[in-house]
Amino acid sequence: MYDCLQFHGGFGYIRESAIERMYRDARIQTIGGGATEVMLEEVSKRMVN
Amino acid sequence: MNSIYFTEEHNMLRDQIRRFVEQRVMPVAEKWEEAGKVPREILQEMGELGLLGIRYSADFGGSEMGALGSVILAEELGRSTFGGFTVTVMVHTDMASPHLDNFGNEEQLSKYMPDIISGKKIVGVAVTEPDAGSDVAAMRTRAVKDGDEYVLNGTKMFITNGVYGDIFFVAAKTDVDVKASRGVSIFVVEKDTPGFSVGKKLDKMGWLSSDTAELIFDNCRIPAENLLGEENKGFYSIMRNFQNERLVLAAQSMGEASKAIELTLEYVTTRKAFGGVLFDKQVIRQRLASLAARVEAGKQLVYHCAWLDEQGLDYIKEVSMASLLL
Repeated sequence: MYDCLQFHGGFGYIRESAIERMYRDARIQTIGGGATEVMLEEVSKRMVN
Repeated sequence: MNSIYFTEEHNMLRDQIRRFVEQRVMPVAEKWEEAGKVPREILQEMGELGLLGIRYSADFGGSEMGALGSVILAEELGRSTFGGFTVTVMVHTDMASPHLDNFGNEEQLSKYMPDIISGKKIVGVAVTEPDAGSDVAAMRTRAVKDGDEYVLNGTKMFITNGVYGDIFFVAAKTDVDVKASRGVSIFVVEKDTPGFSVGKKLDKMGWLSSDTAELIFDNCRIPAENLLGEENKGFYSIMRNFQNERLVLAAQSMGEASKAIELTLEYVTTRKAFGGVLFDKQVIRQRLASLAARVEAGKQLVYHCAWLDEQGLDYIKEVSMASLLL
């Protein structure tokens, strides 16, 4: 989302662009339902078992 | 879609949802963002189209498809560009109601499932607390049996559908003298139960059309028959459902990412700069190509996870890997 907004230039920072909303909406995805750090633990503990 | 995973039935479902999103969601959802609410009418419309019971028994109006059906729903709704709308639906269909589907008895299923599948009643799941997120064992909410009732006390946090939802699957400790994983139970709590209230509607950075709330249980008395599944076995039910939650959240993200790349391509192939369009710049098109590769890899992993689910296999490692790609 970061790159997609970046490539929209100034328009990507304007509220009426869909990418502006998608950038905000996507941020929670590395937190909700288990943060990235929790997922890394889930994967790493299964790598040694 | 040409894929080893999807049948003609899957492809028809995908087309149906894509049309619905383009015609009924995208033109109007900006208003839902402003209102902080997905209208009940649209959810009921989805119910009528069979989109809220993809996984569930035909006895209650469901379509009896597997995890691939949920993945299609999440991915296609994700393409709407309105994450708040998507998560409102996905919490209802794939994060909250599976608790009932997996562990509800005949009576509970026939009491609640038809309204859930039709969209007449919207549901949420209340596990997270101010001091207990992924660390489910740390929860403090208690449920104490008193005659033929349970008395709930505690606070739940960040509950999606918490403000406008009708029914909640609430996790609480029923035995504090044992290891936490052996002392959690899940209860069905209906909105108008005395002692149950919405603390506050939380204002968020994104997902604006999704309502998120703090829920308060203050001597909330519920009938003992509202216990879902066996007493003290709720921890396993929560852990089991985490897999499905992560699966649909990853699928939603893949749909969003695909759509974001499409929107960006549209922009960079038309926007003029330095005597051409932005896509003429190698750095732009190569970065987009590498993003597309990541999304494609992510999608295939998500589909594989859904397939593992349909084979009845554990896929917590694989789905956690998919989450790492978000």
